[in-house]
Amino acid sequence: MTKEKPDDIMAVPEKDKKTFRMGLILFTVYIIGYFLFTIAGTFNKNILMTRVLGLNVGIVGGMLIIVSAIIIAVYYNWYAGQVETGVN
Amino acid sequence: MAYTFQPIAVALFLVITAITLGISFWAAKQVKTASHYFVAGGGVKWLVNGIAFAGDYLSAASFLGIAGMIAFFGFDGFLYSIGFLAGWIVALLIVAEPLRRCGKYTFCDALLFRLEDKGVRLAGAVSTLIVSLFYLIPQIVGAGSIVQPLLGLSYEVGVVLVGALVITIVATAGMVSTTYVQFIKGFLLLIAAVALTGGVLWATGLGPVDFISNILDNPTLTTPSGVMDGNAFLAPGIKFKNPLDFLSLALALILGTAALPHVLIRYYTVPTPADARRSTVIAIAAIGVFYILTLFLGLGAMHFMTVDPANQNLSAPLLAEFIGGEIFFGLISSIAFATILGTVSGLIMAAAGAISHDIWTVYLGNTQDDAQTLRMTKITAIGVGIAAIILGIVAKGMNVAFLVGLAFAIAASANLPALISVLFWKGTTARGVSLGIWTGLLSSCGLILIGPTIMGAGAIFPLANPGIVSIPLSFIVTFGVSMLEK
Repeated sequence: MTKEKPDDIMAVPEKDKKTFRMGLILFTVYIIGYFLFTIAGTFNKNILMTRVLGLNVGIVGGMLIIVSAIIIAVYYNWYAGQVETGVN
Repeated sequence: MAYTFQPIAVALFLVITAITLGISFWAAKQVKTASHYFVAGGGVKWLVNGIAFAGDYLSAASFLGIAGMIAFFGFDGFLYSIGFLAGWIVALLIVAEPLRRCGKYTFCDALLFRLEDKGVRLAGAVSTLIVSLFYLIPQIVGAGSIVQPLLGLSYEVGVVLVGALVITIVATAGMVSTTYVQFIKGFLLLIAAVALTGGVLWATGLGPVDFISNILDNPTLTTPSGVMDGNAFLAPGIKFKNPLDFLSLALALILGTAALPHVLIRYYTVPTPADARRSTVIAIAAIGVFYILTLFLGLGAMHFMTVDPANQNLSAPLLAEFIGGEIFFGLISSIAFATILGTVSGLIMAAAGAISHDIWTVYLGNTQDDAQTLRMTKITAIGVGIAAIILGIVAKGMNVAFLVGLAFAIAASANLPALISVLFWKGTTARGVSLGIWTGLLSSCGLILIGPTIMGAGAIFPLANPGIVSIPLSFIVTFGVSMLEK
């Protein structure tokens, strides 16, 4: 038996909505980069074998995906903190 | 490979394991209610929780499995490092705060914050149990692997030993103990990875870029998988002969993290949604640094050939022995063992919560007070622990990162579509959610059963990881059924 709860249970404070919108933008950018990298590895691995900075695109790209996740996380936390304190 | 008894390594192992158990018994005194047991009373500081997140996540798969996978398969192993971390972006930006706002104890509570339905609870509980068991198997395999060279015991004895220790931890203290064990272990693991990477670069006399360049430039690189061109070793295709396997694994890894029950339960151990977000950021930073270092651990093991051809999971501990002798080997192995103890504890907690809270108490309607709930959960935890020991013995010899990749695929298929739809779409119906969970669960497990992991060369389904089929299928069923019902 299903008992649906009222819609306002999903109500989200305006500040949280703003933070979530920023999260979605960052997520979209990140996911595009991740899947471009994955598609290259799947269908054209020669791209990942191209030498760059003494390494290859596969290693550099992989490192970038890891490092950019850290940068995005730190930025997102800073942004959310600004929104919470009313600065942004 | 033959291993000999090493007294200093054993002494270190006993000390670190005794400290882990000591924390557990100390924390046991703080457990007064079911809330304390499941989510540490919701009062854990975000910094502690963040490192504990990292401790939970940097399990046997990360330390033992990925290093071994990179040593044997080069870039295809590094894909696990990339994907395991990328999944945290989904957890942070999409799931963390909404989940913390709505839940109480378990993944099912999150699903039910808007739809009170017994079918959804049953599906969510079964899914939690299956995912936790699939994640438990590689941890137990890792424990058995470590004990062989460390104590000179057989694999099977190692599995029983870790099972018994974990049951002791979980049956006494619950989430408080697990959190502090993971916090300390997370720090130790990071320090160990930094030291091991430093040791690799010191032993080769090269900088990080030169070390990798030398491997790339070697046209006749000797690897555990044979002699090959260095550039080919550090490109996709050594393990994943079918390119779609690469894509399927990448999809499962990025979508699996945010759907792992033992990760989700940790969002409830902090006081506020903002704390959940902050602890996730700490986790991403710690885990990210660690995964970059796994490349050097794996390539170091390949370079110095510190590998056991019969057990990929021992590459990092054997590398430690090569670089720092018995003491370093004992330290690294003991930290890896403590890692497994902590991770297995968290997983058993999640599985036990699903059975005792979601199925026994709520679904079957057995009304209990707090003391009875705790007793039931501890009995369940013992049962899950015994099941994990048996499954760990059956899975002997498999790479633990690969096994965890399968757990990610099941979690992403069964849990994520349900979670996303419930958290963000008002049109979600109970039937859509429960059918979506069952579809994801059955299709991913079914495809693993008829895939090469189980059936070998005669596999009906050609891919080792089912994510590319089962994840979209579950999304389609969850949203399709909900739309048809509205």
